[in-house]
Amino acid sequence: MIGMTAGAVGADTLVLRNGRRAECEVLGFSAEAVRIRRGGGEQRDVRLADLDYVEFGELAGEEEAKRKAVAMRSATPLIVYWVKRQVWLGRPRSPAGELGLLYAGLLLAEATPDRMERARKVYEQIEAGDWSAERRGRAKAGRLRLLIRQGKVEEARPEAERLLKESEDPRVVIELRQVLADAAAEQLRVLVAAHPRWEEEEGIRVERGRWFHEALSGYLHGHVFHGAEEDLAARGLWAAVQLYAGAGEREAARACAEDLVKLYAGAAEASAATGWLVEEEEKEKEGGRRTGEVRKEER
Amino acid sequence: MLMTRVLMGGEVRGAGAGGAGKGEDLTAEELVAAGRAAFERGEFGEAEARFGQLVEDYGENETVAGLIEGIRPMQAMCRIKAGAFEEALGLVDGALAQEKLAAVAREELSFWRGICLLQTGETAVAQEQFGAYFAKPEHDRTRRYEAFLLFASGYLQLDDPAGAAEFLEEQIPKLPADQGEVAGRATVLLLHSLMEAGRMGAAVGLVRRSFPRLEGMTQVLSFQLLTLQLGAERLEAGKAYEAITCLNRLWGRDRLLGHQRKKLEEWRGRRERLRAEGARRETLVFQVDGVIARIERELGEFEKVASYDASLRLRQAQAFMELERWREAGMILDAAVEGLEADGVVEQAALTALDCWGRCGDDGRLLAAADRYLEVFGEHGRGDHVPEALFARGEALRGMERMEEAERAFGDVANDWPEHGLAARAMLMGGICQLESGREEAGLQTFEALRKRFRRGPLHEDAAFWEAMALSFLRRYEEAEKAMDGYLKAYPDGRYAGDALFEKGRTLHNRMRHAEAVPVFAMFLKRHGENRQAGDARLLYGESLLAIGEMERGLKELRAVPVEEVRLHEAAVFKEGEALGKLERWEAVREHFAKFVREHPRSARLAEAVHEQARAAAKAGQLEKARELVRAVVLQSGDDAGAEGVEDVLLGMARLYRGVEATRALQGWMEKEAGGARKAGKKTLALRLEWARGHLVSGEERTLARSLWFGLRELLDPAVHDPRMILDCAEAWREMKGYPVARGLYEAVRKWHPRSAEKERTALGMGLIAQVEGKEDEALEWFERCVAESVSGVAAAEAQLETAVIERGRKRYGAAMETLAKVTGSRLASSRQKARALLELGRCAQLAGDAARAAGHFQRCYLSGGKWKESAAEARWQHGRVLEEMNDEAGARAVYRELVERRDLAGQPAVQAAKERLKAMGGAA
Repeated sequence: MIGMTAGAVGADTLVLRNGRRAECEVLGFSAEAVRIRRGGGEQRDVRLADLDYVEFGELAGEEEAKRKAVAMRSATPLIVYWVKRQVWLGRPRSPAGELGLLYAGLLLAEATPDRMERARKVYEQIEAGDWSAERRGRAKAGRLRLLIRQGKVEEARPEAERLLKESEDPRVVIELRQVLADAAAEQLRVLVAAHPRWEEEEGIRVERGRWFHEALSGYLHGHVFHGAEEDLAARGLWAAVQLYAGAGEREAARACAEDLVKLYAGAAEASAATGWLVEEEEKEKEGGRRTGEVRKEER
Repeated sequence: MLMTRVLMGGEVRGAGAGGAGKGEDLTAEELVAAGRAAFERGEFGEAEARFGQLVEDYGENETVAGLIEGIRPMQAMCRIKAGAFEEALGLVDGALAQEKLAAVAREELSFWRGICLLQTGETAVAQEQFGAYFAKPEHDRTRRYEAFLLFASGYLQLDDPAGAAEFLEEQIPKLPADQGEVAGRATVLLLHSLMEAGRMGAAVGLVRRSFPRLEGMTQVLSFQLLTLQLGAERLEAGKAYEAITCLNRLWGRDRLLGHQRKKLEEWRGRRERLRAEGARRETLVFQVDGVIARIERELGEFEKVASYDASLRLRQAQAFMELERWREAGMILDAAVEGLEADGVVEQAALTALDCWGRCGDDGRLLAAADRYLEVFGEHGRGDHVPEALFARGEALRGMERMEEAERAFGDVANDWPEHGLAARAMLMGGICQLESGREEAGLQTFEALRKRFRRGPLHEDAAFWEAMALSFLRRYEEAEKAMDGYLKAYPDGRYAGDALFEKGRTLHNRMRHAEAVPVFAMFLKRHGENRQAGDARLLYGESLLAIGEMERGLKELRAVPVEEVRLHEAAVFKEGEALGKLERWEAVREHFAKFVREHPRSARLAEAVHEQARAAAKAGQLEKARELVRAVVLQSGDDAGAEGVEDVLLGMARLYRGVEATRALQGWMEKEAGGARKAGKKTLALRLEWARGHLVSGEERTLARSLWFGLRELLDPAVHDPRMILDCAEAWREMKGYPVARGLYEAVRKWHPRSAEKERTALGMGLIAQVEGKEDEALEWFERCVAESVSGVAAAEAQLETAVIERGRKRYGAAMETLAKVTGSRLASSRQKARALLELGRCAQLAGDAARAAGHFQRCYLSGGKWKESAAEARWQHGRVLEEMNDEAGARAVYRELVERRDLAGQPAVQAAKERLKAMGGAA
């Protein structure tokens, strides 16, 4: 029997082949049965032959932990839940992989070498063991994104391009496009660092433009073609805001941020965009005030 | 379903023998049993026949009345199955009137009553019936939720969509988890109701919330078509975000059709299974029948919808265009063109994509979109809009600085579609490309041709103006003036009238026809005071006024040049200073430039102003004051890296300190102040002083200079400091074999000062380092780059000399000599470099076996470049050697002797070699 889940609160539901449903706490699986506990009472086994699927419920505090983790941009609140969930990675309909992707993504948000290594392991685990082909694809994309964060663009890019040709799942496609956008953004960063006066250099201007536009199109792909995948679309749109802002194109950045707030209000990035827009407005007002003061002085 | 048994103590047979249907003589009970059996098998026609026979044969028999009453519900169902709802309704009502009717039967019949009422047009009553049925949780689950849906749709049929929406919004969340199919159908109804009720915002919200459940929705086609309709309506209403929300949640045609066809098969299979289970599944069969009918109808209607995908994509693009999100719209349109069949709609999408990419400045995508249009629609010029695509191609290429290709694209439009609306503009753009790539003559011809070809077109004006401008760029000022006059006559209020008037004045000014220039500039400033060239005009106007002696007016105009136009303002200040100088008002000049220095310490012309200030002081006999002024500026601004003119001020100081003593005093001052600056942490000031001191001594004390520049390393910040200082430091390190540091400094100049005129020195330096390290191929690449980047020509000549050395080493004598010929033929190469080139030419010729030519080169080297001792001595020595090869021993001896006798060459190694050779030849050394 694998995967004893101490601490769960009986929030799982067994759906049998005869249509009956039973709320219980799933304790583990063997080759032939699933062991459950109902109402805090005795444990019993249900034959897998009778089972259609399991609807895994939330663990106690899991929803709150996710909210906190996203708000704080920190993976720490999710550690214990990932540890508990990962044993169910291969079980059909298990949400373990989705949690794992969120966890790994947040590890990358605070990218120390240790966290990047931990994220890599999580991605590899999901890539190898998740029941969902879509999530395995997204884990692959996550691993490639990690390579780019480590500066290994030349290693990540060809693999992402190859996977893009093979993938049809919209969420995987979005992730891979964002990986390629990250690669282009990294190339852009390296180019601008090596040529800080790129506007004055023939040849470099055009190359810089190529990377810039490639990154932008990659980030916007989810928003443009798969806007219903709100979390991923919002993530790409926020990356576009940051790219535009970094390039000094404030108007375009503002437009993207407004789109993010209007179309993906529920996404975590929407609050970041709202905050950014407020800051921009303040800066503009401050700039206007200073111009007014200078003019006053000149008079 | 219903089982009613009447036990009458015996069988009851029908009155009249042989009266039973089918020629059988069945008892009432047998008829009931047969009818029931047929009913339960779903053979409703057979069942009805049996029941009919029962009524016919035994209807008069009161003992059978109970049996007959018992079969009424089944009879009613048979009528319903036969679609005879009005008759069925009577039977149902009759059955329901029976007091003893079983509860189960009553329940079922009350549901079917609603169906009959609905089918007979009694919509309101039907809705009440369904409402009452649904209100009872104990009723059969399947029927109850079917009643729920029928109740809701009753609102719509009664033209009360708001009521339907309110009911469904309240009830859908309460539907149990096992009623997913019902919830899906209810959601479709709700969306329809919300739209009909005009509650579009709520409808959009519903679309958004429902998207994750789309896969499980039976009527997904209906839902999606409603969503498309909603999206279109939101777009029409100017609510682009809501439109996008809807349109983003639409599947493509193939996916929708595939999904629904699969669903249809599943439902049909389910129906067959239910039918096989008999009449007890009748309600479910009825329900499934309805679902199948709806899916079939949906599929039938959807298959007729033409260009669904194209229509969806275009609406999406339109929504983004409403928001001016050109990139997003372009991406959608590009995908549409790539993925859809090439029809008229898609062609329009391809053209719109060009517009979008043009607006967002992504030249790469614009080029790709233009090429895509041409590939798909441009075959044999078939597409109506090939010229537009070619024009867009030209614009993209111009944006990517591929001027020649851009010019070709524009030329294709102008030449292959001469009647097209874009032809003239294409010609104009072609001419602009020619001007931008420095081919003014070609541009001139193009504009002239454009003007002649399109005499009446809207671009005739542009052509006339740009033709005149091209003449001006070519410095054909007289023709340019005439051309501008021609333009102004034809277009006195034209778009370029101001620019043309300014340019006319400028051509007069350039030819020093100031008296004629003055009224032109006056008119320009009066009529076109807001023109972007007003500042330039005022400056030139002021200059012209001064030139014709109108001092006060001239100075007034110069002072009116706006401060914000830095370059022009500074030029005006210097012009004013010059005018004061001409009047020999030296104190005024000094004060004038002192004010400039105070107010513009970061000006690039700081050195010039300081020089003028000092010159004025010196003219007034105040040399020490002049020196003091300059020293003050250096100390005040020297530590500010942003004050770009300080380096030139320092280099110019030598002019105020002529003579050995004065120079020594200046050196001393620089050394002292540099030391103080270092201690005070004023790195930039220390850097500049030590660097300038190096230049001061470099003529006489090269080693000291190099040592000073070597030591600049720790003070340098390549991002902000003058590239000349960085390069002098780099070269000092290179000469001291500190190659990694030197290389780093050269790279820093290329990185931080890519436009610097000094850039050529970095390429030369990198090449020399590579050469020393034995990386000849890399060295050659750098030398080639140096020649390409060279502005002054000096570094280029040096690079060519080193290139020749490498070529010579590789025995490529012809290539080496060709390179060296460029040096000797260059106006920009110094005489030292030419002397060295001649020496190298001699060596190459000698190695190539052409002794006579070698002799000629060596002789020219020491005759024309005699002051360059090292190469002159070496050339004489080599000349002697070559003469020996040619068996001219006497000639060789003469050359050697001359070399030995020249005192100015006494220390050269070649002299000792000549002495030894003469001794060996037996002559006097």
